[in-house]
Amino acid sequence: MKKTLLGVRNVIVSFAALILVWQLVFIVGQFNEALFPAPTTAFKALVETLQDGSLLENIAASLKRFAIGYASAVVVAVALGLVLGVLPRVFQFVNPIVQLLRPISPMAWAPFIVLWVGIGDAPATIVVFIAAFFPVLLSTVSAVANIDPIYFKVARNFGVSQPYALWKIIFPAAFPQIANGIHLALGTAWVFLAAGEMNGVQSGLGYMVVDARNNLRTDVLLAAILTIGAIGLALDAAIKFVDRQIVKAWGGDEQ
Amino acid sequence: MSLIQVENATMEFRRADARFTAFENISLTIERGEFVCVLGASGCGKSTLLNALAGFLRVTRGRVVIAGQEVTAPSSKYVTIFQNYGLLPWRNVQKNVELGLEHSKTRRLTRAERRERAEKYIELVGLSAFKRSYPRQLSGGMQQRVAIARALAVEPEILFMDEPFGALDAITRSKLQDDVRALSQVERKTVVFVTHDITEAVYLADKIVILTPNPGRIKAIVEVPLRGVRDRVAKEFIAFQNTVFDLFHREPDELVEYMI
Ligand SMILES: Nc1ncnc2c1ncn2[C@@H]1O[C@H](COP(=O)(O)OP(=O)(O)OP(=O)(O)O)[C@@H](O)[C@H]1O
Ligand SMILES: [Mg+2]
Repeated sequence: MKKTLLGVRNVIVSFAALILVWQLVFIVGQFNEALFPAPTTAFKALVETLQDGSLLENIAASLKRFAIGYASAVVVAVALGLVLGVLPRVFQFVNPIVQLLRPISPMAWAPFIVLWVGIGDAPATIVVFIAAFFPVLLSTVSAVANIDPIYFKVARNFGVSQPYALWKIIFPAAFPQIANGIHLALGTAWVFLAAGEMNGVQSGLGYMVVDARNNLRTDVLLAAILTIGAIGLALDAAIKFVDRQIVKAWGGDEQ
Repeated sequence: MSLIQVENATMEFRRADARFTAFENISLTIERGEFVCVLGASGCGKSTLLNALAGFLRVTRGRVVIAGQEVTAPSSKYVTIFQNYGLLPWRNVQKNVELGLEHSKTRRLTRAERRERAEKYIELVGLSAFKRSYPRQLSGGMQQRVAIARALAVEPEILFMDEPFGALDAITRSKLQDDVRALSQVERKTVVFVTHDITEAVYLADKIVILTPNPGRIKAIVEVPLRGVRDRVAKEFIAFQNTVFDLFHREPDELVEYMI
């Protein structure tokens, strides 16, 4: 508990310093307000978009796409990763394809996605799906490969055969490491959500960025950017907390 | 007929194109109800031999036969207990012990039957108060008791134990040695127990199989002449312990008298 409070204090100090430096640079530099908004201007835009309800609407739209894309990627990638993890011979053939697809930015697919599924919620959701899918898949496969062999022995000894072994032994044994992959994918997926929302949608934080640019509202632009950052930070903090509970539940160090 | 028969078993591993012989020409028989210790220095193939008996590995040459059938795969008729317990950290004690009952080949147990059976064996190893605890909340000795309860719960004919007390302190170890000996008699189990501790072997075994390394071979098989509850400081105990110690340093032709 003390540690969390210390953490919170550090975050506050660090953000206060950032805002201070930002305001100082703004005052000293004599920048054009439209090119480099001051923190106060961005804050005003934040309040304004909050009051007219557009910010919350966009946040809700983004979170919905993110939740669907990310959750379905996790489910599919973990299931596929478990199966490929116990079939290393098959994975040998699947792996080159994965390695080919993985370095392609999910955004590169965006034109095709829009052609195939049209506009609306789907394209950004699919971009999030792709962004989360590969890291989770690969971390699941390697998690299964790293399971202590004793678990396989125990499963065989007690007659726990497939598919039960996958669900009862292999998945839980690999789970802490899988959770780690799920955690890392969260940040990546969030980064690509905003990018995915810059095409083919009329809502969401990514759309808010594009829309503000088109209206030359750099203050709103900055407010949107800060919101994206703040939610990313909150998501990361939440999953870190979940991660710690998992490590604890699996008998890791309880610090 | 003996319960376990090992006939001229040899185990080779492939290691980067070279072949490595873990053990060679091992023949031995183990009777029903016997407590056999396999004793030998590190690396002489004890674990490999035990894995071959338990069906985790198949011998390269020769045969392993249990109850008249060649061993080709693991079975819950003979359960292995490992040095590092092999408990599932995400299950509590009760659920760990129930594991083997969830996939019974012969008859599916109901949930209530499983619970009852698990409770019986948890009580037998003295952990009733810890049914709801998770492995991480238990000491090493307690965790090994859970593993023993889990093994006994499937009511196997044979227990294979691979240095099960190797990670425990001396006091806990001797307590568990007492318990395992008592349990094996009460439950009438055949036990094959791997160790590199001479005192442990002399304390537990009806029969000791001594292995030598490079490659693993049987150096001697000795019956332990001590009966009933053993006393680790009794004169006969220490004398026999010295005899076993000497056997490690004998030349093969001097061993004949012990082989009978
Ligand atoms: N899967 C394997 N592949 C190659 N070599 C192996 C394999 N398993 C065991 N060995 C080798 O076989 C030899 C015997 O190993 P084993 O684990 O049976 O010894 P041990 O008597 O149980 O030793 P310890 O007392 O240290 O447990 C060792 O040299 C080991 O490196
Ligand atoms: Mg060993």
